Amino acid sequence: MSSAYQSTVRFFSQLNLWLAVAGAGVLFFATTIIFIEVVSRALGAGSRLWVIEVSEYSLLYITFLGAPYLLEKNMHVTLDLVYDNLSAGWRSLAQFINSTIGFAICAVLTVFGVDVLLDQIDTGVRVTSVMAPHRYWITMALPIGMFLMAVQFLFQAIRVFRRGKI
Amino acid sequence: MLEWYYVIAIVVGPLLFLMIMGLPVAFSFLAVNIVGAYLLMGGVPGARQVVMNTIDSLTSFTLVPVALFMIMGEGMFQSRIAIDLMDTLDKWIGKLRGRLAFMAVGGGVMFSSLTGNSMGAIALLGSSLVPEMEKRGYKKPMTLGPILGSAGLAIMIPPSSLAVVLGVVAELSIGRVLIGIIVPGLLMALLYTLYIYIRVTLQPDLAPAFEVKPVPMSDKLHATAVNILPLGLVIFSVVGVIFLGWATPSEAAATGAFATLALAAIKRRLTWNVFSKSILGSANISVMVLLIVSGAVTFTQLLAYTGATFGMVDAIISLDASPNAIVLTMLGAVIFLGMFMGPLPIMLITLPIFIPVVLQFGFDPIWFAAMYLVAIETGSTSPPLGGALFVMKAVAPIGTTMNEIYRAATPFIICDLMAILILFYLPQLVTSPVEYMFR
Repeated sequence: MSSAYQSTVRFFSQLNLWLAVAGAGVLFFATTIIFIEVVSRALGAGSRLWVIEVSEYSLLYITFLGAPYLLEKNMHVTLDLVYDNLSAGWRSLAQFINSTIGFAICAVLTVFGVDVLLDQIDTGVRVTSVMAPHRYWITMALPIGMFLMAVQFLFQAIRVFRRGKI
Repeated sequence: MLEWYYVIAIVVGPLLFLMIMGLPVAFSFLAVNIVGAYLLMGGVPGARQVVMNTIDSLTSFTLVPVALFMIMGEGMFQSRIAIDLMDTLDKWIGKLRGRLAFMAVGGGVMFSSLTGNSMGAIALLGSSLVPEMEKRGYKKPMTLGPILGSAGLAIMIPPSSLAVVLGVVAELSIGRVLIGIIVPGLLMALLYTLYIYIRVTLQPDLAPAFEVKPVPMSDKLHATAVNILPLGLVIFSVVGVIFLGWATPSEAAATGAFATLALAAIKRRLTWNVFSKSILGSANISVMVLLIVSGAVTFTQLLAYTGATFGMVDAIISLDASPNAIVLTMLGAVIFLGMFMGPLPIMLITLPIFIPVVLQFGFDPIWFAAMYLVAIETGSTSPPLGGALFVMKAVAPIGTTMNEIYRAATPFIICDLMAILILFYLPQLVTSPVEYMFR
């Protein structure tokens, strides 16, 4: 049981890392196409309308590909005003409650995200834009990211619970 | 429909509670958004709307600079171009009382024009200058204070990620905000310089003069040509391309990022290690900011949908106080919040309320935005819990107490307050450059 749990944790940790690297790759890709667009326009070589649109979608993917890794590494912005001044026991309790709330939020957003996604697949709705992609290609970033973050919050809650300080 | 104060109580109260209890800011926003939307926007359809709004808020081209400016900052630090800049400044500032304190201000201004990250600037200026300052017998008010003040200029001089976030959340032109904050940033640097000059003249023991090995003019010119002039390319690729109309502010972030990487390559420092650390580092910071922004934008929409924003604005403008007094009170509130919270959450909570009030009164929102950013900067260096103070503590010599940092920061906070008042009474300092550039 413990070994299976550890393997699962390692699997998700690797997955988070690779997705974060992919997110960084998307960031560099977006930077490159915008740069090429500016240079090409300045040289009179015309404009590619899809650049803005692809950059916008990139932001979404950068965020949801990278967020689970950041959560795993505890790098998300927090206010430590009260939390840092709690005793070890209370801090563990706060950590457990925060992880549980985090898990609940991400799980709910995963469910609603999938719900919206399935609806969009069903109706085949497209974005009203130059590229007019199927909307589900855009939406799917959210439930994927939220699911991975829900898993991370769950691992955090289990870790705090296993330490037995609550 | 619920009265606006009930809505505020339902959504803002739990938001602050979750943040204070240590739940990451982004997830605090998401929690309040999903519960608030469910309760106030018709159950499941409301919750589905949160999913759509979160996606829509992120797929916005105006947010592109937030991620791309980070590449500039990370590239500068990872390739050590920032260190070269300090070395060159050091060569130019000769035997001058308080030279290291002036260097902190000069370095702060220069880093600000290259990166948009004040915490990074504190870390760099602190770790590179404080040991030397201590060795030369500088007292704490002249070591820690100038660094705290000057590093904050990073949010005042383009490229500034916080200014972009402000533009996005307040729905203002990013280009106008970026141009509008230049003079206020330089004004702050001028006030810091004057303060340092007056203080070291009155109390020479705070910054003892020391012998500096003369640097031949040829060395100075060489260092300038190698380390500073090429930075003009980076500055031009951000600010110049906007002025010339070659690129929008969002696109200028990409040209700036490429110029930074190109400069590192020309200096033969763009190794795979530097490149990957720069891109990964900037992606990480971008994710943190973007996730919070998406939560906050949806939060703003929730407030607007429920009528809370309108109700609150209506209540504020019908207060028995002059519009000027209300504007100053709002800036005071930002400084006060800055003593306890980070810049980003403050901006995201207060801007959706403040900007409509400013517009209702007929004030120029860019003018308000410039003063608002100075207030944000002031708050982040204000005791007891301003974020910059703790970064300073991390890089200050061992044994430095928070009390010493508080005392060192105080005169620079006063300079910031003076800057706000000057801008308040001379709005042309903000509006004239904007009108000139966008006429």
